[in-house]
Amino acid sequence: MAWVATAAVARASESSHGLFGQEGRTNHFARAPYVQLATPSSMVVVWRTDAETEPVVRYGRSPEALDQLVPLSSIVTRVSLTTNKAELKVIEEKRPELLRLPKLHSAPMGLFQYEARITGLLPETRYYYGVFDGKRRLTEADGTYYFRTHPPVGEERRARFWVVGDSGTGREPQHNVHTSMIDWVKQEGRPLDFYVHLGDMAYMRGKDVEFQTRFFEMYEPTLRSLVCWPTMGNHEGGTSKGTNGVGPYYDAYVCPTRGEAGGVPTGTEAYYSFDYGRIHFICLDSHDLDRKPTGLMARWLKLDLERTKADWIVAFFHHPPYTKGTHDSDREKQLIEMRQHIMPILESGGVDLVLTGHSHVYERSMLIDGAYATPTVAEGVVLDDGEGDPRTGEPYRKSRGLEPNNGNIQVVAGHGGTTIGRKGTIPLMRKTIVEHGSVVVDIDGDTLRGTMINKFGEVRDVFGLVKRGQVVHQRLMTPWQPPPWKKPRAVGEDVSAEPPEDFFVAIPKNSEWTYLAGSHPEGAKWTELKFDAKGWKKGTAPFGYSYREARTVLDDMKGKYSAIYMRHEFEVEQADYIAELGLMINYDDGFIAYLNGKEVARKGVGKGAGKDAQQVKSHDATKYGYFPLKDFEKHLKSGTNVLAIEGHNASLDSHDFLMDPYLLIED
Amino acid sequence: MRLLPATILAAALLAPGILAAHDSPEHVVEILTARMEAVGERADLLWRRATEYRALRNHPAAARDLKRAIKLRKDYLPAYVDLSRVQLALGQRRRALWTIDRAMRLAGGESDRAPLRMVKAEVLAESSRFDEALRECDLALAGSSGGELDWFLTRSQIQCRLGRFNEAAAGLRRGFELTGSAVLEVECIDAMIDAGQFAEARGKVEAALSESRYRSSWLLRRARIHLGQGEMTEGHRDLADAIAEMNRRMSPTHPESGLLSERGFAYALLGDVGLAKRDLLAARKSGADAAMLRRLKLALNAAR
Repeated sequence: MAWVATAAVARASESSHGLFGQEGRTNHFARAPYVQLATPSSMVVVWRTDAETEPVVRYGRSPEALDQLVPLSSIVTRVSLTTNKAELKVIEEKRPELLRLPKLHSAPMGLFQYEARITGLLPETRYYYGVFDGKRRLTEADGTYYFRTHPPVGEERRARFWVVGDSGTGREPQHNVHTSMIDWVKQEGRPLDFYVHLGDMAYMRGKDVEFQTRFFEMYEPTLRSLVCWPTMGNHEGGTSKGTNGVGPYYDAYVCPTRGEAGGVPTGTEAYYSFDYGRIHFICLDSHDLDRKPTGLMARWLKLDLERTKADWIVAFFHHPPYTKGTHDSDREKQLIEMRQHIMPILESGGVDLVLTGHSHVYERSMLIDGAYATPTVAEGVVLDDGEGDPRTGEPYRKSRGLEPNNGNIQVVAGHGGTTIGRKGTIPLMRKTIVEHGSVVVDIDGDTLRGTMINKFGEVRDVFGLVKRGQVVHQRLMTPWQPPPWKKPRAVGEDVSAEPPEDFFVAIPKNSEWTYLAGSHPEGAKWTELKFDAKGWKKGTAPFGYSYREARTVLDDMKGKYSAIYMRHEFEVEQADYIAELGLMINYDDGFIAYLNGKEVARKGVGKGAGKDAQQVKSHDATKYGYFPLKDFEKHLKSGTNVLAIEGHNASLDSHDFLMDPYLLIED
Repeated sequence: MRLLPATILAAALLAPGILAAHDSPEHVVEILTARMEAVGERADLLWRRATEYRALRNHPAAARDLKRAIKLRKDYLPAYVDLSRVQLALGQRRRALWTIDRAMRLAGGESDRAPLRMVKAEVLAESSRFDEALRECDLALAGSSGGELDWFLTRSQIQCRLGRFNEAAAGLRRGFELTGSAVLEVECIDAMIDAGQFAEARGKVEAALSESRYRSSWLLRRARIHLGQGEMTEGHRDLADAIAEMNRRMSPTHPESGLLSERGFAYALLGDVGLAKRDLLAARKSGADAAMLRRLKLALNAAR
């Protein structure tokens, strides 16, 4: 986008329209309109353009009658200006007011962000809106741009909200989790009222461009009419900072700072609360703020809990107090501190449901209270060890209203799109499910119901909580315990591993490889990047004979030679960001793989290599196996790398042979 | 929320971040270790590994990496800032001070130096050098375009330790006006009570009492006003009411440290040294730190 700013600067000296003027328009949004900071009487519509526009928002009760206009004074404009000193000087001369606009941090240069605050609205009312550039309508007039204001604070209304965490990869699982939720909600016939994102919405470092492609574009149809209430994850923390509210995360969201949506003013967008009818939501920043009870955030939390008069309290933040998914709450500081410092405050304030992410798994607890110990134990902190399943008439039960230390349910929902996994079992969890998915929560009167929907649209868990009458719990000294979890066999053992669910293909199937057949190379230099493969042939994988799938048929191999040598170069942009590198291969009989000259995988070849390879076991190529490359992080480089494979037949007169490899990267 | 320009600490965050989407700190440490075995030690990789060690609460390993990072890059400010904090966590106050002083010499302008001054203020306050700590806070707040929320709180705590309650109240009021933070407002009310500004504080306390579901902390504040004005009966009645509410809220098996320290404070104001001391010990056991227990300890000493 740099050209926009540069071109605009050039135009400034020629055009009376000034910088970022009419002629620079592209007629499309750099970020499509989305809604933020809902209250019973107001809403904020945010959008971006890649050139300056005359921002206008019209709204009304029907799509055909957008008869209200948001005054210009209620629209905040932010801009991402050039950093070139000469261009800045031109701007200073021609359009000094641009320099006074609030800045977008790390957004592509030349972008304008508009935040239109619509006030004076009726509660729980649907409004349609349109975004314009002067008189020219930018949003389609198709009735899909609408929002619904919150119900009056303190009045009982049912609520349905979507909960998703750790989703921002921009890949298929994220997409599937989103669409499966949409389909399920449609099937249920009850739309969402808003949604809550538990952080890590823009991998890898929460950069502006990552927000755009991995959050806004992924969730666009949902975001135009539903408010996403966010909490910052550690990946957004790569570029945004909670203590001063600077970074792409804070550019993307408009969150309450002065109690605009209910709750006590925080003075920061990093943590906040809002009300929906008689439900009080509390968002905390578990990533980069002081988590101690004497810290600012914990003090605010106490004040907020003192003040709320809701029937329900739902808290959400990124780092889970209890997990053994891809993270371990018995070992990691942020998780331990949220458990030891923040949970006592939340529980003494009467919290009902705690939603977290960070750990890429679905974990749902029993009804618990007081589990602050490290390591986490279940004895004496479980109040109800049942399934909590309302479908079988066994939801958890609490007293009506907000009673301190009367139990809460913990949900870790970090399974929204990135690679999932598990380290063990937290003894408080009733359900641990290693699948991609998300959670829809319904609260209606005195009843809460949570539904976990996986990426295929299947309901994988339902839990319920009923707050009625006076409920006194006995703390269970020997509560039900989840079965022990058995770690799968380690990589490198006798079976292939599970491939990652989301990956890039570094060397595609049926690629052209450089190969040597009929003789052996000298030593091991052929496995190195700098090796000159002069005289080697080129051929398309798979290589082999007597297999129909072989594309490079080695019809001279049988009886003459038992090994071939293959090389393929591939590029990696940032080696540091690669989490796993793995070989998918369908093979007969054995192989040794090398990355930049180092052996990283071996299968079916007992010992030795090249012409000295021994003890090659017979193996039929019936399916692909996945082999993570051992210690790849020591050998992989940013830039060009080479994967080399030597394929071996068990004997010279073997009746078949196949090497069919491709390479996967997970970042 | 967008009060500040990017600071040095923000620059630290803008440096390369976590390696992989799903990696635990242990795994990231492994990856970074392997990486450095392959490409050699680099300041940025050492700093990143130190961040992971800190997440695992392994301060000695973090300190080791940060020192090596500084050795490799003598102007690497994020490493100095983190090392100073790690040294403070390890109880090495003199070293922490030396480290942050070096960082301040390397910093460019006063706006870059401001967050470093706040780290230095924390180190000085931990060393009970409150006058110097306050000077650093004042310079930090003057040198930035407003300051971070935390800074107002840190400065007021130091001012209170020096008995400069009127200044603390004024600074907090300014912070509240700038940010709207309810915590700064409440701290301001506390400082006003400490400063003897009872009339103004009373109005705010009454307003909060009428709005709150849980009233004990506000009853405590009103009690302090009553006691400060010599209205002993009213003060004791508020303290009794506050204790009754806290008793209802207190978990019998896992009491919250903040509630314990507040109840202990109430007992101490009532002159019940035994119960106050019991709550002090229980609060410590529940994880209360010195800052949380400061009022309780002062009141306990006065009651003795």
